[in-house]
Amino acid sequence: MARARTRTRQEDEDALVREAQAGDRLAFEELVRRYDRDVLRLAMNLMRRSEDARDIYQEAFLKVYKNLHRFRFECSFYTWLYRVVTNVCLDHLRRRSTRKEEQAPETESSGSSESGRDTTAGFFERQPELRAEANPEQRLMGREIGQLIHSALGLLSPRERLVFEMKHYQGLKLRVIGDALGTSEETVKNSLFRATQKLRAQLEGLL
Amino acid sequence: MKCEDIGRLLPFYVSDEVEPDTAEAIARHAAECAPCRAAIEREQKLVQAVAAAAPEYDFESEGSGDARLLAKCRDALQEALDEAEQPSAWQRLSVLWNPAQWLASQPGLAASFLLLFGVVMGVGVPRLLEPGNGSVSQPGVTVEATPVSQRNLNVSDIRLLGPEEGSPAPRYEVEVSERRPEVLQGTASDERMRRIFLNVLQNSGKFDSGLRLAATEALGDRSDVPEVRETFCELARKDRNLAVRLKAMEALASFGDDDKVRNVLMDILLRDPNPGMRIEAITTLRAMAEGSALSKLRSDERLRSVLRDLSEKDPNTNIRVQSAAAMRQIAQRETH
Repeated sequence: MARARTRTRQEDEDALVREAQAGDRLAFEELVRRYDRDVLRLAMNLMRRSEDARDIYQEAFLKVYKNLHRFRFECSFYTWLYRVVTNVCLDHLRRRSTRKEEQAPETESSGSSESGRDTTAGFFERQPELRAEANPEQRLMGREIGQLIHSALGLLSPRERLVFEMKHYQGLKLRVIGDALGTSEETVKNSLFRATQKLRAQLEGLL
Repeated sequence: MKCEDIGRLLPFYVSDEVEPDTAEAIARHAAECAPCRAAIEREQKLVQAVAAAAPEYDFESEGSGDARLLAKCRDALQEALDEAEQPSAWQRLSVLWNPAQWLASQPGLAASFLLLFGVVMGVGVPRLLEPGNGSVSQPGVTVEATPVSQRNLNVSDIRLLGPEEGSPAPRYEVEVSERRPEVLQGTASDERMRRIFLNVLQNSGKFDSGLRLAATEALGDRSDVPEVRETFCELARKDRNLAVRLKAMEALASFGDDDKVRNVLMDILLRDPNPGMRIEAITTLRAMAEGSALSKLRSDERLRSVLRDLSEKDPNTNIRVQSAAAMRQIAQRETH
């Protein structure tokens, strides 16, 4: 039954993609609405600033729109979309790490946005264990661990960072991440292994 | 399995990325090896801490910062797509001085043009070269000394006439007309004007959204004409420009007693991914309930069921509230 539902959804999606390829703007917008939350979530996790996340969102979907005719149904549309999105994210992360070498680091009070949580502090306010039900001691510990995780993520290379986010925050399987990044599962495993080592070193003694 | 193997596999073991056989071997080893057991526990805590530190986003609650961010992203993308669909000024200009480009995009016209070129070169040019012939006129064939505008050229027929006496070259008869811009003035009630507006709307692929919107506005008061109404139904359902769709739907508001119109609105309510369109469809239905269509709305069981479903299940809070209000509005009036 579940299999039949999956197949129907896949067929429905293929039909939508074909309509979008034939120039149907509404079909394209329907595809955008199916996946844009995931794209924005990934962009926000990686960039932490809504302005940057908006840039990634727009750049990624425009690329998808302009290159949709190249999609040949050799993989799922989701995987193909993620390939485009991850490339855009990697470009942004690389540009940002280049800029960071040239500029002073951002302070926590800088930046504001419609989401109101652009800063690093805002980012941590999203973390569930920092909220209501935890006692003050747990909250403090949670904040400390959260900040250490954040610092450790900042030490990762763009690719390690992306793999780590896709695995732990988006919950994707390594095979899917490999497909999206256009690389082998083995390479993805190596990136995840290095990322985990760096994180472990940062959290040594706290867990 | 050895302890160093476990260390290498830890991150994948705790995130469920090893084969079942390997997972079983690790579990067996850990049961016997305290240091590896402790290492697995530490790794699990690390994964839990990372998972717990995952930021949460609320894209669904209307008014939340995340939902506003998503809405802004979508709006900006719409605008960027609109721009992407328009050819750049350079592309438009380059078409003007690059006939090969527009001929390539219109193979039918290109073929006609090549045939005409053959006729001109085979029949017209030799005669033009004869002394005293500035232009040549024969029954059925007119070759002008000044070239016609290729962009507006329309070839409606090419007929083989057979060779002229004394010449082996075949002769042709070509019907050529040149489209010239014409300026018309009138109201949307004038049949010719209406046909022009309808032509724009019924061939939406050929005309840009500005023209379609202007034509929709022009015909807005003429939804009493069945063809106009039918065209508006199609536009509301699937024009690629949101403003055109909204304008067409607005024009349909006075025709709630038309089954087709109500079906279009229900179609939008059930299938349109854009919450703005769904809200406008409800607003239109409510406007209909204020007018003469009330009895039709009251007796439309499918409409009531659609509104009930929306009021219970639509992911958009505003739509749920508006659908419930529309249901109440119809029911209240029913009791009066």
